[in-house]
Amino acid sequence: MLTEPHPGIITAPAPDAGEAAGIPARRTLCDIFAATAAAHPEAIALDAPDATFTYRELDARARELASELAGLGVGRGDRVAVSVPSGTAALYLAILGVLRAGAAYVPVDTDDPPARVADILARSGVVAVIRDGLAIEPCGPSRAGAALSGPAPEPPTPADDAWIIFTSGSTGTPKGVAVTHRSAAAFVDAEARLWELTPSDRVLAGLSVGFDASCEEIWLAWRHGAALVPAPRDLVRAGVELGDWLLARGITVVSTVPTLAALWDESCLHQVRLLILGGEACPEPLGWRLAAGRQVWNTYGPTEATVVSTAAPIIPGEPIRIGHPLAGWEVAVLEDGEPVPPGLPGELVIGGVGLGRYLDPELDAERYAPVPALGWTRAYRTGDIVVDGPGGLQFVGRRDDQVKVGGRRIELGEIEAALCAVSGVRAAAAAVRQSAAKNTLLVGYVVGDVDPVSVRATVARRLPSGIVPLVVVLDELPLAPSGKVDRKALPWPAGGDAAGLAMGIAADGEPLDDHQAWLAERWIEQLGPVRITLDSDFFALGGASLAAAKLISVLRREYPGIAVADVYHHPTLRQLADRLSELGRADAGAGAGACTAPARWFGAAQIAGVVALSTLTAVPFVLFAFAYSNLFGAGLPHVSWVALGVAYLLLATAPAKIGLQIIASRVLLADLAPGRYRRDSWLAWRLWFVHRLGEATRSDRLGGTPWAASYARLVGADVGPGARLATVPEAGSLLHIGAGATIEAAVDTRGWWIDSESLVVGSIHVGAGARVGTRTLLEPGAVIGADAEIEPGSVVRGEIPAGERWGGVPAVRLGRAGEFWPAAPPDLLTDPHGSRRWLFALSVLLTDALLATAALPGLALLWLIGGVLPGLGTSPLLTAGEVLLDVALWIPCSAILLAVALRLVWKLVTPGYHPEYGLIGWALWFGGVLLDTGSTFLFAMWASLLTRPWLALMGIEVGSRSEISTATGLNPLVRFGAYCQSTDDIGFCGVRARHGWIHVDGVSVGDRSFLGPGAILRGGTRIGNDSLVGVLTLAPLTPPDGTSWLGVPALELPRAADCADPTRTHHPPRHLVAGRLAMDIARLFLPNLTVAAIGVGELLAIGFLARGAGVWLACLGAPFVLVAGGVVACAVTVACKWLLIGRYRPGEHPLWSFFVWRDEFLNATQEQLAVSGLLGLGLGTPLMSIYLRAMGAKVGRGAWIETAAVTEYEMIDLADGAVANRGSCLMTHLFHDRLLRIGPTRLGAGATLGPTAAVLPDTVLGARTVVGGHSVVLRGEELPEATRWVGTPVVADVAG
Amino acid sequence: MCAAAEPVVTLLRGGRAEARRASPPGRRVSRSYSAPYALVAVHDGPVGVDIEAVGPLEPGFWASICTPSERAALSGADARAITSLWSSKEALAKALGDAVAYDPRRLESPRFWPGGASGRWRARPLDLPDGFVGWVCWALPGEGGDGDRAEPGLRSLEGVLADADMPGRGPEPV
Repeated sequence: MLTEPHPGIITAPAPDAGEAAGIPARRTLCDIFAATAAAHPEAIALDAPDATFTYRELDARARELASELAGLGVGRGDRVAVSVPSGTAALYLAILGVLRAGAAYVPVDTDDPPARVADILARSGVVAVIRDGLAIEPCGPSRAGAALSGPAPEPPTPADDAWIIFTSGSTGTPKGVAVTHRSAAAFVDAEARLWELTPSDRVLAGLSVGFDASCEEIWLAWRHGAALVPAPRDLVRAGVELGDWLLARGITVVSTVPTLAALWDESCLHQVRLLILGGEACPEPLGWRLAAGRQVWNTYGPTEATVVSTAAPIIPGEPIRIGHPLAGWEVAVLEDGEPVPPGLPGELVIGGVGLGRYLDPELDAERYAPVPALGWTRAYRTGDIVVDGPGGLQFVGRRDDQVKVGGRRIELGEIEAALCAVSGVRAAAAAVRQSAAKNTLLVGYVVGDVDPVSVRATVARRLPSGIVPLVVVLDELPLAPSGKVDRKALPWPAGGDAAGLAMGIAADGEPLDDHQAWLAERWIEQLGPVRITLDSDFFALGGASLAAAKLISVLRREYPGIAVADVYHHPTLRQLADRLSELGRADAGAGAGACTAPARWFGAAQIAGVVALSTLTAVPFVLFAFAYSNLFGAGLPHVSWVALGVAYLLLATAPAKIGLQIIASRVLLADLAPGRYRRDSWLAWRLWFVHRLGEATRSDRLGGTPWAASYARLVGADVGPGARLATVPEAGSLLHIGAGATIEAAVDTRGWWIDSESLVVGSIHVGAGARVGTRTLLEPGAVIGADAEIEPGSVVRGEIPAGERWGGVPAVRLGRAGEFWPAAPPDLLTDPHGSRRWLFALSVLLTDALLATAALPGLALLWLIGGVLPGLGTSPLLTAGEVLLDVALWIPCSAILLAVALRLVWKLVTPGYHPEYGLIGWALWFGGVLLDTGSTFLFAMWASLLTRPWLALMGIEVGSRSEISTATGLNPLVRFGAYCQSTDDIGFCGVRARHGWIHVDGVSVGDRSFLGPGAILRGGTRIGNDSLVGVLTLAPLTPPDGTSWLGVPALELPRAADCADPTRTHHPPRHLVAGRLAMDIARLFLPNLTVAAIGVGELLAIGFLARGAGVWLACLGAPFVLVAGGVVACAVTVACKWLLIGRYRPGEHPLWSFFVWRDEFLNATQEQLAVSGLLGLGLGTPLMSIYLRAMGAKVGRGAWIETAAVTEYEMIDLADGAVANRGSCLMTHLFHDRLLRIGPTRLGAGATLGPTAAVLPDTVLGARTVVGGHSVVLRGEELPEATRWVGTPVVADVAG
Repeated sequence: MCAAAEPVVTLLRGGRAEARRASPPGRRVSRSYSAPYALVAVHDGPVGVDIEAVGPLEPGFWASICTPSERAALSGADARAITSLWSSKEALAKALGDAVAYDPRRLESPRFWPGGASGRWRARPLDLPDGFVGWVCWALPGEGGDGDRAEPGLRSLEGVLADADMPGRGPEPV
């Protein structure tokens, strides 16, 4: 000892007056026991389950044993192993006996593995082992009988060793620590200054004697004359039951580890007046709880410095510290060998009277090295990090385990406390591990019926980010004999093996989240036992394409959206796992929970809306009826021409219709805002109503004229100056179009759609100067940057940066905007005199004049056969007859007149760049208007034998035997070869527009080539011979002959053509041609004549009402008359279906078959009667469901069917609440190779087809599965429940 | 221009280095590896070749590489037939230029082409040592060449797919 201690040395606090001061006296444990035995000879010293001894008895028995040992030659300086079962009186008797013999005892736990026992015996050089029943077993070089010491044992001196206790070293080999009587007795005496016990106290002996804290138990009792009460070993192991035992045995003093104390109920502890915790960090909540009813101390000390070095009382609400050194102990907080100032962390180094020594001299020299800075010649480096503060020392953590994350020191106890706080966790331990890459990892091991992911999530809420541990669930924590968690024995994977992956640890020891770990296990299945880290590349690990396909096959069970391409685009474990979690979210995202059908009131309100809308369509009928009667005396009450004129102006003119839309949208949709609403909400009804009103009143003819922008502004869109709109925007859209932007034809700018059970509303922004290509869908919320360009047939979601060219479904970046355009704007950018406006306006009137002219030949015929012109027949029958005759003549005449007009107009069209509102621009627009004019009553001109001559009359070249169905954008620059087939709704997009320019180019389709429904062919496309462009496909520009293409962008997909009887597909015999011609002509006339007959009937009914009930009732009744007429039209269609077709069945029918012709006939009937008569107003309402059910389809409750593109009805199965958005197509047939193939499609409950999306035959959409806009589900594909898909063809949609 | 109608396919013992040495410059080449063999196909037009070792397959695997019509035709097939189906699709996808762009569930195997022909495409299975299956697919040289090269519209998009990191995939024009 130095007389002038270094200021960095911390010693025991100065005692209160009257207490013993300074270092405890030099004496031996034997001296202590002798003193106690003398003071309390009759007090109970040992109260074991198998025997009880008073101090006198115990003293006598120990002396006997000591003599026996002495008789065997055992004496001072010798070591005797004590291997007696725990919990027995013999154990403690043996210890005392060895001490009395002057030898040091070496505790050997009888439960230890034999190898460890052998190791301990060898290292400690014991001369004898005391076993169960106090049998003494000499070992080593025999000293028995040497009789050097004689029968009287020689008592030990303070310098003799009292015990040698082995601790587990970091290397796994036990390290023996020898402690002298001097140190041991000093420890007992120092503790006696902290705690006063009496002979009435009963001290638990629960710890293994292999653990030096057992010395505390023993000598707490024997120093004060209290009773030592050993607990049976199994009870200690069980832990919880020990609590009851404490109560039963009247234990008043307990020294134990916090882990064990945590298991005891407060009720078991009420007799315990002193509780000493030690051996591991005590969680504050536990310490505080226990301290509420008794004296509780927290102690700290390594075996190397004799059991306990420092201690502090635990006071509820105050931080738990390890406190101050015991009397005689000296400690210091060092960093790099120098003391650190109070408040800073450093390693705790212990000096003073308690220092033991290692049996291994090398280790001893290392760990008990001098500390020159303090003048210590010998001190023990604990490896523990502490901070010295006002309340004493505070434990921070193990130096070995010390980690810094973001500059923060991590305390394992804090993490353990957080883990323990998770409900369901019974025990926890945290450990610090190093990955192969030398990254420090925190691992939390927990026991309990818990899920590691949720435990991790819970502690993440308590702990600072960055120190949230990996969580591993174990069946039990490995315990050292001391009862402490054996951190070293906590499992740690060798790396990359299945066990490691199951715990979420990669080959380099990096933590893996649950997606990554699961995926890594799947990789191992395919690749064999490879080392997998987060950055491992599937292909670099030996994965070939087949392995990738096998992997995907397995992954798809959990992640139905994954595709083989995902492995190539996301080759590392981290990337692919990220992709999986994206897909996982997609699965969970699609409307969780059961799908509920919309409320009944909604459908009823829609039907009321349809009747209200019929009022508008009834106006021309009513006006016509009264005007006709005024002129020709049909017997109706006379209505003044002024009244009729005013009614016409207010209700039937274009300005009137625009006014109605303005009023409706301003009144009904004033509060429209982006968001997600219920599909059966009041807002949804209003949106639906305004949209249908727009459909019933808007003028598509304005699209592409200078009037369109003005019109759009009137109906509520925000349109900048100079914007050119070929699509007329609808009322009720949150649409913003920047100055000089171009919207090509058929762009969906509605900004809302039905997404399963929700109505999604979003605003749409088209930046100044941007171009949106034809047939593009702008999703709600789409924002197109200034001057950006969107290619035709795209789906735009989210934001498109300014100045870029995007395209695809959904759109991706393709290049720079304006790449394929002249740099400068055209000369004719504006229309200074407004003259062009009037050219467009006059052209609309010209169209009407043309249609009127077509009626003249019919009227002439009526006059020739004696009709009383200009009036019609006086009897209803005669009137009907005359009307039908006129219509019959009017149809061919108008077809011919339109074709001739088109031929003349299209003469102007030449390829190249032209100003949009120049003459060529006008010709293209006017051509479109004329063609569109005949879209209803000339519907049957398409896909018939009449199509080719009709197109030829227009100047469009079509090769022989080619089949051409409906199309947009036709003009003489479009050419068809022979035997080709152009199916429904083909978009010939030979015209594109931007910045006031239009670019016109031709399109050609070679011999025997096929264009699938909705295909888009841009200007300059040259489809060769024998090629195929699939459904909704954006055709490549110049594909080689004999190729098949599908998708946006188009991908070449070779296919094996189906061979059928050529006389039924390409080369029909004459009788089949004649038969088909008859059917085609019937198809052109019969539906039209039926429409005319129903129209006459409606007029007659209105007249009848007017005559019988007066003008006002006739006006009020007219909408109902029209609805009734529509119902009749639908009924005729339904009758037609059952008469002509019966039931549709899956199968194949060649083009030249009666079945296909009947099918086409029914299509025309539906289009002209049902759709035009009623369903056009009733899209999205229960009327569609009722109609489709009548036609033989299976339609559940509350289905939203906003499309009439439905054909083979028995093939349709729509579950409750299924949604087919506007323009979507339930395509239950394909027409490749001139064979009509029919197959079923099913939409599960709440399943949704986005706007203009299509499902092909033999498809299933699971419940609540959503297919995005303009997307295609290919033939035979089944999409699992509650998933989202987008694309042509569909892939998993992770962004929608 | 006179061009050979069929590609020349060579089976080698070796790996990438050997296959590379066997690839003549200036021609279209496709390579495939399955230890200890490598296949090299040389042609004047698009060509794809694939070799696979027949090994055990999971019961559900076959369905995940079949188109709906193949699913009906292939039910109950053995590992060799399924591996061959995969190989035929792989060879075709390589010949088509961008193997990754093709989902095997959407690419019809040339195995079912009548006479091994579809439009300008031809395919045939290869006669390989026991335990291995392989296919070669190629396009007949014809007008229009490789088609889409000059397309302004979606060229870049296709470029994105073609540039993707695809270890060991696709024909490598030498």
